[in-house]
Amino acid sequence: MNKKITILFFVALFLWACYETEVSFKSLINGFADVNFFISEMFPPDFSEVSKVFPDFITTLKMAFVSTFYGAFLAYPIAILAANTVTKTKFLNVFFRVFLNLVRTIPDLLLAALCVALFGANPFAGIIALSFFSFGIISKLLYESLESLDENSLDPIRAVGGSWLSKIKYGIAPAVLPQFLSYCLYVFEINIRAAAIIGLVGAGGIGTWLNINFDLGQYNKISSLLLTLFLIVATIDFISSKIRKRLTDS
Amino acid sequence: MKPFLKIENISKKYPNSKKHALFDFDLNIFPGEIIAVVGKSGSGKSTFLRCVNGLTKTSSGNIYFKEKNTKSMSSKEYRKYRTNIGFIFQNYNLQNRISVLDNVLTGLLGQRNPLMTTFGLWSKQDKEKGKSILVEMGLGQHVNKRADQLSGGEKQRVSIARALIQNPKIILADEPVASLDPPTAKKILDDLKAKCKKRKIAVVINLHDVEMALRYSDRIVGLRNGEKVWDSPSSEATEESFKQIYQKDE
Ligand SMILES: Nc1ncnc2c1ncn2[C@@H]1O[C@H](COP(=O)(O)OP(=O)(O)O)[C@@H](O)[C@H]1O
Ligand SMILES: [Mg+2]
Repeated sequence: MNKKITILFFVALFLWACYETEVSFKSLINGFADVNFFISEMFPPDFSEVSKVFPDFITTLKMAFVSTFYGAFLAYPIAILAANTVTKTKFLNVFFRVFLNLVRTIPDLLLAALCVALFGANPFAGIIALSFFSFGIISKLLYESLESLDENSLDPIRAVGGSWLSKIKYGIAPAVLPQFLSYCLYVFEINIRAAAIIGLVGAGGIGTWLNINFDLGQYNKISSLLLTLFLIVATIDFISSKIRKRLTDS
Repeated sequence: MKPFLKIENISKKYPNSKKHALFDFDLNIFPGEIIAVVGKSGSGKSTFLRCVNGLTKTSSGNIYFKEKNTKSMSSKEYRKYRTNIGFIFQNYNLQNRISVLDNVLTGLLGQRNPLMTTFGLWSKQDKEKGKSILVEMGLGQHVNKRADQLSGGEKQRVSIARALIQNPKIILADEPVASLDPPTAKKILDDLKAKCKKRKIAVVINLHDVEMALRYSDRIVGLRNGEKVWDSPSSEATEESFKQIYQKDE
């Protein structure tokens, strides 16, 4: 009885959501027709320009890497200041927690568009946007790891009168290092995709070519670029998830 | 001889707790003596030790170190005070992901320049001292291993080494062998006693095993519901005294 009501409730909720967001089967089917058109246009992929734009793939990877690095570099100290297990100053904890929440409320694409407006359509703008984005994710994850640390593990350092820096170096840093590295790899994976996408708003890298070919209607070139990107992303995801697994197992 | 550490009427009530964990507790500690604190689980043994070195704040009462009230110490003086106290935890509380030697060196964190130690810059003397204490504890072949590769007994030896390197006036040991098998426990207590007697370090050791307490201590203190109910040389402790300490509450 109870179960039936629950199911009914969710079905009603679903229908209401569809209505509110104007999802209809008609538009879905129309959409499929368009997809059909794109797919047929995309095949066979035209790989003739992939080698020409290869440096831009590298640019995208570099953007992803550098932004992950900057993001992590900023996230580490801020997460430490926000975590009350490490930093015992309530005011700092609250201040940086609010700051972290604010950073994460900014949508990535808006951030990218903003950076392009500020710094022009180039990889630098992309790197700034992605660094912010990486900072948001890594600091949040790291902050949660730090908050869940067993505070008793710091007792030996407190007991001998060790400083705040000592606690970080000998208590906290070794304890969260595997998780921290794992978060960085994870964000790097996301960043490669994100770096390609924000290229669409002009932030450099391979996204620029996706954009150009889209405007020219050369969908078979787009498909070759997407396939290449897919290969790169899949390879890196594969290696990175292997490393992450090893990190968190030990 | 004069006591170097005077504990005067200390009480502890934890927030959200109705009764005192420790009530009106007095103890004078003389150089080089070994005091066993016995009592049922929950009688306040850990609370007492943690109050002595400030891991837990007392609710009232005073602690004098060499005639100086710890409450009137500046934070710098208090840090200095803490360097005189080694602490041994029941669960060892080592940092698993750093080397055995680095774990031992953390005992010196309150006595060395925080900036230097944060960059891992320890003097040659400190490192040599750490190694020689590890050799003395029978861990010569484990110096550079990661701490989590050791057995429970070996870990507790490392934590004894970490306390010894401080050159402390006193070591507080909170049920140091409760997680170890009896033969290992006995060896470790033998060693702890020998090393401390040799260096004239006073020891306060929480034990719940009466026989061990009698065998390793010069003096026995009994705790019951947070209150001291016995204090005598170990040679004068009788069946009767233990009955009193361990009797059921009406
Ligand atoms: N952090 C704490 N917060 C609240 N109550 C505590 C805390 N630590 C200990 N207690 C309580 O204080 C009393 C004494 O505990 P403890 O000192 O750990 O005794 P023992 O070490 O003899 O087992 C117990 O009733 C225990 O539940
Ligand atoms: Mg205890």
